[in-house]
Amino acid sequence: MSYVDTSVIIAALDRLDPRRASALEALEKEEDKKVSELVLTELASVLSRRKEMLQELATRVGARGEIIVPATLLYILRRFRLKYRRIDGSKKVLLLGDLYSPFVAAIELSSKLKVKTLDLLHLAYIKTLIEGGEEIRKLITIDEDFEREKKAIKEALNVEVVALRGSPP
Amino acid sequence: MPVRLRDQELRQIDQLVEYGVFRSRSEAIRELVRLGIENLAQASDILKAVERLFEAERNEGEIPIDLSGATRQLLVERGKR
Repeated sequence: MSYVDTSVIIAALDRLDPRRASALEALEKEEDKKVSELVLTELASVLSRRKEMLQELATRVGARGEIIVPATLLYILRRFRLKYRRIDGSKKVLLLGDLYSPFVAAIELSSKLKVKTLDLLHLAYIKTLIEGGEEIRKLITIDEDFEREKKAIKEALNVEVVALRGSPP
Repeated sequence: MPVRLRDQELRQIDQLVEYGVFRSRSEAIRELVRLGIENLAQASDILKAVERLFEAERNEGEIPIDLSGATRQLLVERGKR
């Protein structure tokens, strides 16, 4: 089972990105792929700023403007057979009180992994999903910062980083 | 409390479960009842738009979403160069 980073989905839809072919191939070939609400949020953020593309898409499918982002997100999930898993619940943190579970996981992981905030949050979602019973063994990404930390990620989460590269010219 | 639904509504609910929006039919029905009839109509519109996106892909032979340049944008926003 794999966790798919947002960067792979965006690259698969980015006709200018040299990693598009490998991103598409990974999304088509890989079985049992999971995404988190953080992936959906990053996707929605990228989509929502492509106003012209969204307007053109809404016109083409005869949809009202306000539903085109959720419709596109659902299309992407189904198109690439990505399964979204919701996280339930909060956890107690000593002296801080109740925090949303992925943020507790992020705080726990921060002492083991030296990565930027959004990367840390993706890894925290993986940790939370694993703790919730998902057997995630791979993180598929094009973000090189994950690859640089792959040894520490393997030690902390027992998850292998699969970093996709661009096709040769 | 038994609830009888039309086949079309049940198919839409099953689609939402398949997408992972809800974990089960019963969770979906509970949430959709809470959200009300107006939002169910909106969910139906969203599912129709999704089907039309698949139709567009079948007709054009290509995914109808072009995010050219977005990968670089995403990585920059994550603090990468």
